[in-house]
Amino acid sequence: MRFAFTDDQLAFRDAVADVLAKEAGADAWAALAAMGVAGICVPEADGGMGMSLLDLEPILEAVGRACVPGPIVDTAAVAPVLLNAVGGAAARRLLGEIAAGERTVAVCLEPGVPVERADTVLLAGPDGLVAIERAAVDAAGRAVDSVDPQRSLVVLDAVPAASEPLGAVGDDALEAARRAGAIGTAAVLVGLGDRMLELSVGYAAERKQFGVPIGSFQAVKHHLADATLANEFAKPLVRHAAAIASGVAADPAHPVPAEPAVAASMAKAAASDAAQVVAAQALQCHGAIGYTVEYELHLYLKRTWALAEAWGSAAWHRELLARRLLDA
Amino acid sequence: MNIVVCVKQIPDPAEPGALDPNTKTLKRDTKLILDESDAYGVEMALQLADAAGGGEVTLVSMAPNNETAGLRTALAMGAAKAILVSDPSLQGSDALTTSKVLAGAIKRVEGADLILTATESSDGYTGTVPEQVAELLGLPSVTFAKSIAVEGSTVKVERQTEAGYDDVECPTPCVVSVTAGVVEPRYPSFKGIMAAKSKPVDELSAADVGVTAGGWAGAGQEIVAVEQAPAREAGEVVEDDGTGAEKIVAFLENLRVI
Repeated sequence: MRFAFTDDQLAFRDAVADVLAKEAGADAWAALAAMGVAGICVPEADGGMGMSLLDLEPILEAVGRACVPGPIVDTAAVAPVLLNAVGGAAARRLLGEIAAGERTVAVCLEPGVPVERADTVLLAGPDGLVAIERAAVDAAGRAVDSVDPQRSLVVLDAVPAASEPLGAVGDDALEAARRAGAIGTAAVLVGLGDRMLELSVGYAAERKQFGVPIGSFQAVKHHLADATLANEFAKPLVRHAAAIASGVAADPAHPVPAEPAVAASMAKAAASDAAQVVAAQALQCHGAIGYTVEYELHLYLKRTWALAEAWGSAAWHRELLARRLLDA
Repeated sequence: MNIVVCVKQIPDPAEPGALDPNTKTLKRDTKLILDESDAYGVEMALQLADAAGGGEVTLVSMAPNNETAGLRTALAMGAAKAILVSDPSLQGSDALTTSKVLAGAIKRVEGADLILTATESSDGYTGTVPEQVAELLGLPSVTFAKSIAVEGSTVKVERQTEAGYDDVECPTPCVVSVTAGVVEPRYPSFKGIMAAKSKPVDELSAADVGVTAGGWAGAGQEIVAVEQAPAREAGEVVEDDGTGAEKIVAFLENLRVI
């Protein structure tokens, strides 16, 4: 299987990185939306790019590197899967608004699971998929705290009355959405890991103790090497899962698990574990400055802790994999 | 309304630049990017064409090695096509030769109503090319535009000055140089990036635009030597014995700051 990105994918990633070098917070989201990030996986007929999760993956890594807040994975990776599967005028309208960068969407596949606040929440209830506007979500839902204060979470315990039915959604589409959420979040996690490593290596080279940079001590450099190894080993799994989800055929000469569910669970488990290893070592190597709010590392730590659990924790995905082995 | 924008592709300022010891000029063998100061002209042109209800924005550039990476960025923003003059004989060209090349390329664009440039490039900083291009084309030149509006065949420019700005009017066609901040350049969209790949870039030689004596031979200037800037000298330390304020005032007066 070819793991290298195409020139187009790299051009998109670099264009996004250029924007994120200049914009932050809500401005970053607005700029990304205007570029068309949210519409990558939306069909061309609905105003999107008609591209795949594999095209979105490097962009989500760049989003992670910049720690952009907001439900980008849900909007750009997960919602298009569900809306496209459901079809119908209302779903197509939402797809168009996503592609135009006019609407953020958060996805909740079962009532009771926390979801990020967005312009619209897509909720998979007992009677199919419904769309709930922000005001109705706020009225019916209860706010819950996230370890990451930049994530504004809400729980919907049931389908609110003020929701727009979009249509029935099959188990295949729900599973595809679950995988897209796991893979997209995994991509953001390895991006977060990249930036935390950059910060930590930079700090270890600059901070001196006993007259030498702390990075020259084995206890520091070995930690950072372990963290780098974990993140670099997670990346191919994430990209592989994105390729499988995008229908890229496996190379028969190099057999690798090509089952979408296996690939997605391997990716999310590896990325969640790796990012948490990186976060722990980054915090350790930074010392006190690491948990100082004036320094940016804490943003990355908290996002990592939150996203490591989102769309299935490492343990949850490993359990899925273990069950498949036992059932086989 | 058809608008030509002169753009330069320069070495990425984020990468540490290096001088070629033989030519004493900036090495340009790396990937070149669109000069950020040109993005303002491109954006202004796109907005003016839009406001006029139609017309094309054409880019004109001179660069070594048929480099088009920077042009693709401007095409991705929305420009329709580009003319690139790339010729080994142009290496070492001075500002006047550059202007002759750009003017020659601009003449090939039919029905250009307006030619926009930056005030100066971010790597060469001569700041003379816009006026030279205007003179070579026999067109009026307005510099340092901080805003541009077109009404019929008149261009209205607010021209930045040290004290404020001048209101200037000028008939089209004309050459206007824009300052950073005239408009906020857009980021290229993904659709723009994809579309830019198939937009036409007309690659020409120096002879095609009528320049035969370019490069080092035709340059009216010679770089004799390049030296390190002198290291910063230690400042003067004044112990405050009660007259510190007066000494600061005297120091600033000496600099004619106050």
